[in-house]
Amino acid sequence: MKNASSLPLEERLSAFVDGELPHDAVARLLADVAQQDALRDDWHAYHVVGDVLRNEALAPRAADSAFWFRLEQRLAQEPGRPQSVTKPSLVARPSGPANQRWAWLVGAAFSVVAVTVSVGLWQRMGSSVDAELATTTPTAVVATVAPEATQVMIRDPHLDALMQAHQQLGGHSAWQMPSGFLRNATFEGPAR
Amino acid sequence: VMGNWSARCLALALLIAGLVAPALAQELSVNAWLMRLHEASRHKTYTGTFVVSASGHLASAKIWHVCDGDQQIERVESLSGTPRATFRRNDEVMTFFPTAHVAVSENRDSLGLFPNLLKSSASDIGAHYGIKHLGVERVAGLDAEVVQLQPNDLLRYAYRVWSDQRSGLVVQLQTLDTDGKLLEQAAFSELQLDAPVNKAKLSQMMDATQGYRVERREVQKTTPQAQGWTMGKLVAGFQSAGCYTRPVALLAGASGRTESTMQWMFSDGLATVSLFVEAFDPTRHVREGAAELGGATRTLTRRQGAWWITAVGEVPPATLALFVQSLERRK
Repeated sequence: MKNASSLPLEERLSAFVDGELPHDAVARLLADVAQQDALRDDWHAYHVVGDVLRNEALAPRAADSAFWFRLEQRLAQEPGRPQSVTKPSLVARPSGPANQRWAWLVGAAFSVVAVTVSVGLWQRMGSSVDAELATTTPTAVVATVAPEATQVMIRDPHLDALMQAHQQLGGHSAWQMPSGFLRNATFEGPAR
Repeated sequence: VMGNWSARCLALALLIAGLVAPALAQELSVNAWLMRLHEASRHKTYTGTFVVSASGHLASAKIWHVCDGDQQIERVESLSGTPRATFRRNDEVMTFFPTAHVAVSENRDSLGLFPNLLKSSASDIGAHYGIKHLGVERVAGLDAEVVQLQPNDLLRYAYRVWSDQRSGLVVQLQTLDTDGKLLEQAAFSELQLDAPVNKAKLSQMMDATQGYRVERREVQKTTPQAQGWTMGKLVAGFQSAGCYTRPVALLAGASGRTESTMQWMFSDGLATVSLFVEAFDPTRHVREGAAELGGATRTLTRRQGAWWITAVGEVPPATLALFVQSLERRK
């Protein structure tokens, strides 16, 4: 990465968390971070998000769902939500306004919402939530947006829970025994 | 004398043929044909790879299925998405999430209902779907008979089914929308019939919950009347298939309250619809309208005064709207 040390501090920090900051820029970054309290908070926030994405043991449980609902509502009201979030990297991120960094965080938050779908209220915890999922899920979530809709469709853990309840009692279909049960056990649905 | 005997035999044979021919035709009725598929899935032992494609997403799982007399055991090991293994022993279902160390236990009594449903005259699937034989195709290495079940109205989707000619086992199932567009497909990409499957071992695996936190999803049987609800007008072809309550904490839990959600099920024999009724909560219930949940499953949410109604089903959105409109609060 060229001129990594000349990038804004927040972007370098974000790149470091993503494992994309060149080795020689790391020492400089750490020295800079140590001098700014606000950056230490960012550092901590990135790790919390990363930990939640990568480790289901830290993922929120039912008690946290009020927070997720509020987050989801807030995200739905955000005017400038990213329309397509791709792999979060400095290369993909234009050097735009200062809040560009948050595009990644919002993307990650989308991931968390998507991940909590399986955690949700059934306590179905997303498990292989690795770095790859962390980077690809935002795209998958955005892909569920109806093109004509002005509001981004975020996977709703409540609807997912109802769908599972529907499937649990779905034995009233002739398809259930030949293939419906297998279908439901195999298919998790998109963006999970 | 011999001539008379032969003539009598021939007459008898013709008579029997005359009686049997309509009976065979009758056997090709939708219900009888479905019954054959159902029995094939119950009595066969097989392993295979099952692939579901819907809404541009692919999911696959490895399947083990064994049947020994009355007991069936099935193991579905996901190859995509969240690592999980679902075991079914008759109507008892256990899903293991190994990374989370959580096992979800469910009882699906309704799985056992179907043969009776098919045998009863109340469930006349043929009144709402026509059956069309489309020939023979090869799927998963087997010669499969292709049949399309075409609805007689726009309230339901069409299905195209590939079943093994010899055993009747369903090897591929497609759901098509009212324009004939493919909504989802479930198929075996590879299937080994009569494969050696160790039933005792599967059963042991299903019971091996040590190290797992077991969560039970329990429902209580109730009636819509007891819950204060009725259908002003039944949606054509759909019959009530049971009403249940389940703790809302399992579904939402945001408020931490333990009021229960009502789930009223309907089925036309192939498609199912669930109507969920919850007390309206402005903090959680914010999004009304239709949504897709992947593949053929649709949802429609609407507020009705103090209630929050969600319809979920493998039917066109317009059908869900009819269900929501028809649901009435009894005074």
